[in-house]
Amino acid sequence: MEKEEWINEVLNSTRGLKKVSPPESLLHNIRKQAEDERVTESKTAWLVAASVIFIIALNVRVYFKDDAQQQTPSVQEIDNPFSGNNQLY
Amino acid sequence: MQQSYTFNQIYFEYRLMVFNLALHYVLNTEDAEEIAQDVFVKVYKNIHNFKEQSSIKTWIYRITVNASLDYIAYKNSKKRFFIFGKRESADKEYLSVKHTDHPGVLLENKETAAMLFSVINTLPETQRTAFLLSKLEGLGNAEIAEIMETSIAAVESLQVRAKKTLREKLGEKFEEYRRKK
Repeated sequence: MEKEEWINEVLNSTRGLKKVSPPESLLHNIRKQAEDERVTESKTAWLVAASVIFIIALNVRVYFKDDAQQQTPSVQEIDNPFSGNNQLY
Repeated sequence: MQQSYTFNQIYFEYRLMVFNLALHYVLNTEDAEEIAQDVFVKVYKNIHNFKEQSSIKTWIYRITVNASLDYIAYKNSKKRFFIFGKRESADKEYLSVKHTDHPGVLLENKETAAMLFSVINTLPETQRTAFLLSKLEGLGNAEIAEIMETSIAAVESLQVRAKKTLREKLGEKFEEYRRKK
C-alpha cells in the first residue's frame, strides 16, 4: 500500500510543471547559425565547382598534348630512317 | 522578406513548445537551448519545402523529437568514446550528461521528479517519446501517432508498456528509498 502510494506520488511529481521560456539570445543565435551555414554551403559549392573545372581542364590538356605528340615525329625518328633490310650483320 | 516574416511568426508561436519538449528529454537548459537552436535552423532552411501534408505544429514536434534523440545519442557516443580515451575526459563527459536540472518542476517536487526523470531516461526511445508527449505535453493519442508516424493502437501500446516499466523500476527504487529512510 505504502509502495503504491509512493509510486503514484513519484509519477505525479510532474503535476504543475511550468513552461520555461528560452533565453532572449536564442533567435539571434538561430539567425547567426543559419547565415553561417549558408555561407559555408556556398563556399563548399564554389570549391566543388572549381575542382571539377580544374580536373576537366587538366584532362583536356593531357588529351590534346598526347594527340600533338603522336602526330609530330621525334628528332630521333628523322635522323635514323627505317632500315630497308633485315640484315643484322 | 516573406520567408523572414513567416519564420518569425513560427518562432514566436512555437519557441516554448520546442524548448520545453527538448528540456523534458535532456533536463537542463544549456542542452535544451542547443537543441532548440538546431530545430529552428532546420525549420528556417526547410520552411519553403514544407508540403503541409501534416500541420506545421506536428512537423515541428517531429523535428524536435528527432533532434532531441539525436542529441542524446551524440552525447552518449562521445561519452563512450572518452571511456576508451583519457580517464579525466571521461569523467567530465559523464558529469555533463548526468547534470539534470529541469527548471519547470515545482520546488517541492524536485526530488521525486528527478527520480521519475531518471527512470524515464532508461525507457526505449519510442516508449519515452510516447510517454513524454502524452504525460508532459498533454497531447492526444491521434496527434502523438501523427508525430511518431505510427498508428494510434501502437501509441496506446507504447504508453501501456512505458507505464508498466516505470512502475516496475520505481518499485525497485522504493526499496532503496525505504532503506535510506
